[in-house]
Amino acid sequence: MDPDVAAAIPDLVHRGVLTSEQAAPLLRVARGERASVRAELRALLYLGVLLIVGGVSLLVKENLERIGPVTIAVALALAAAACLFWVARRAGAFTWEEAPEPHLALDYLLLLGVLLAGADLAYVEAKFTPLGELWPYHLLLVALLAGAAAVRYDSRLVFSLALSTFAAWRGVAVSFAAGGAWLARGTTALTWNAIACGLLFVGLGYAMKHARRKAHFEPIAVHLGWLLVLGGLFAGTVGGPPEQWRVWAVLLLGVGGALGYWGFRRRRFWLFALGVAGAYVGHARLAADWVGAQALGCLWFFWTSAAVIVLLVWAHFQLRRHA
Amino acid sequence: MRPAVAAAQRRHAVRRAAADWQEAGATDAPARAAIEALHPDDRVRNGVALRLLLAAFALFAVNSALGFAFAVFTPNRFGWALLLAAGAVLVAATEWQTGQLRLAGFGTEEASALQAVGFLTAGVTWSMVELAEPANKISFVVALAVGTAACAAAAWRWGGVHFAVAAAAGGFLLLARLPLGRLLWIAAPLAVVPVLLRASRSLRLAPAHRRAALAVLLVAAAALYLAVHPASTEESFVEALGDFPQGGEPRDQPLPQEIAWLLAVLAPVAFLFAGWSRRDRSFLALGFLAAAVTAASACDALDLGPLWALLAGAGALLLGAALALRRFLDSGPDRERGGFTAQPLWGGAASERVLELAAALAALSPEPRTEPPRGPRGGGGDFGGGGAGSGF
Repeated sequence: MDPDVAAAIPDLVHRGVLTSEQAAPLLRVARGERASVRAELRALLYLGVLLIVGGVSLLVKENLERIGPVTIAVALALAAAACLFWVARRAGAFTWEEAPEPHLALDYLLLLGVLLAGADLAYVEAKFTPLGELWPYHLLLVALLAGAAAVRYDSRLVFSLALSTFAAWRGVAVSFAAGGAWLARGTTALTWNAIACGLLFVGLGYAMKHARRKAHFEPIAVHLGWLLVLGGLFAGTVGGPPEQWRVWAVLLLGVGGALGYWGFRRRRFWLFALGVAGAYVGHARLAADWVGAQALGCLWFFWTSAAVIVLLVWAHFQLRRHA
Repeated sequence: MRPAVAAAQRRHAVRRAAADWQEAGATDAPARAAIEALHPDDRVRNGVALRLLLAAFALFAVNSALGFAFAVFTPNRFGWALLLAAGAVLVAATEWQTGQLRLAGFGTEEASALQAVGFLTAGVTWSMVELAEPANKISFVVALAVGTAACAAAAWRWGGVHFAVAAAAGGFLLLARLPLGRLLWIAAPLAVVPVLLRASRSLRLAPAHRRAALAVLLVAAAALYLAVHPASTEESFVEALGDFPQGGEPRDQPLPQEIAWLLAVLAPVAFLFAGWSRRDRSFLALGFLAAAVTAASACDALDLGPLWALLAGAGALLLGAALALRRFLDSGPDRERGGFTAQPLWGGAASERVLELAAALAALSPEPRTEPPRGPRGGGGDFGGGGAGSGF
């Protein structure tokens, strides 16, 4: 509810800006007489999926010997199939455009089905090793299956999971918790993997947008892609070989700056912010080495961060002028 | 809060509602333009990305300047004076930005307000430690009181839910230090609830103050629940907070367990009832959270079933409950029951979607494999796909 909006609506009707028919439902919401619990229901569904996946994981771990691997594999496959069957029955016809949501729970049951299928595949691979020396490819398989399911059922949630699973196949962590451990362990190969994955995601997003094939997935691919590119460059500055960190830092400064400029020109504000932050971190890594962390370092960082503030304020007024 | 700032907040609320209405198709572009003309925004604002970026750089700049001052002046015992001076300068800077420059949600003024409160509190704490060596209980209480007062003043003058939450939390920490602290944690929320309920919906208060009142209300409700929770009474949690940092003697259980369990069941029911009757989503969320904590505590206390069954059962229950509730709401006249609907209204959908994606990436992203695929390896992989692990 919003008392100010509730107070303004009768005046808007009186001035002829809103008709009485338009105003009635708006007024009910503003007065708190009608409220939507859609977000809460989605949160419950999401939490439900998380708990079920956690419970299933524990069940398999604790009862592995008692139940037997075949039973576990079949049970997981049946559970995944049940979820995906439910989704398939309720989903609308396929479209390359953004599809209307046919059911509130569809996204979450699809997510549960994909997670259970992924767990089943991983379990089968771990126990029966059907892929042999090609074992890491089960992650790629899961990523492709998740990607296909995301496109078919128009699920951003599952699409993001497909991208992060693909990154995991290349040894790159997307989540922050796992990302910390990955950074600490960072090697040049993983840094390059992160950059390559990121560029691939950015390219995928670009292609989807320009081919008008699920163009609304583009922001997910592009943001995740640039996050991985800059994360990879950052990993190079802190976890790479000592003789190479300056190169990575310069690259981070340059790529971040270019991304910030591009984001500003295209009015992609999150990419602009990501680019500016990346460029400053690259600069800070270089500057910390040159000026140290004492008085001169503090002074340097004060003036440079103040300069960035001036730049951002200028960007703000430029954007307002062209709005 | 300045009257001009409060008036700008009211106009901004109407403009934001107009944007949401147009996005949802409830009104058209000319109607939105007319509403915006009637409610002009005289503040300088930023979008979320630029706002966060400016706030981050402002915080960094201020801390770098302070670091420089400490490095040059090496104030030793009088560092607190430098902190207090910096806090005073930042108070003036915030006033200048919110007043003369008319910044609102720009980023820099929020950063300077946060730093002002932090520096003033840290300065007072440091001075108490210096003046009352060795640091004793009194200096800690004074620092806590100053921090609470500074946050309350900032919430009142500049707005900001974070200041209100910090002030309320500080207030409860101070109450815990008084005799019968736990009783005060129960009595104080019950006493302030009627006032805060009215304040959170009062047209006379500025929007920022209404949000602050709701935030304090939720903190008070959470404190009440914490005070009656069986684990909190068993571990004398409130009393231990009151004894911090010195630590105190072990206490007798302040509340009989039977009564604690009864109250721990009744409190979530009361929160849910308040949420339902007032159509207040914050109270519904708090009630659900409290109910989940009570249920988890009960399962733990009664040593119910294996954990996997509890998790999977709870998950299935949540899925079933969400679907049943949606069906129940959709089956009502105009797809609504008791003023609640499962249909989307206007506003917030985009930000909810971003949060959902961020949560999915954080919680469900699979562990990366530890080395690139090279050479044969027997025994299969250790990694799951799509967020699940094969290690189980």
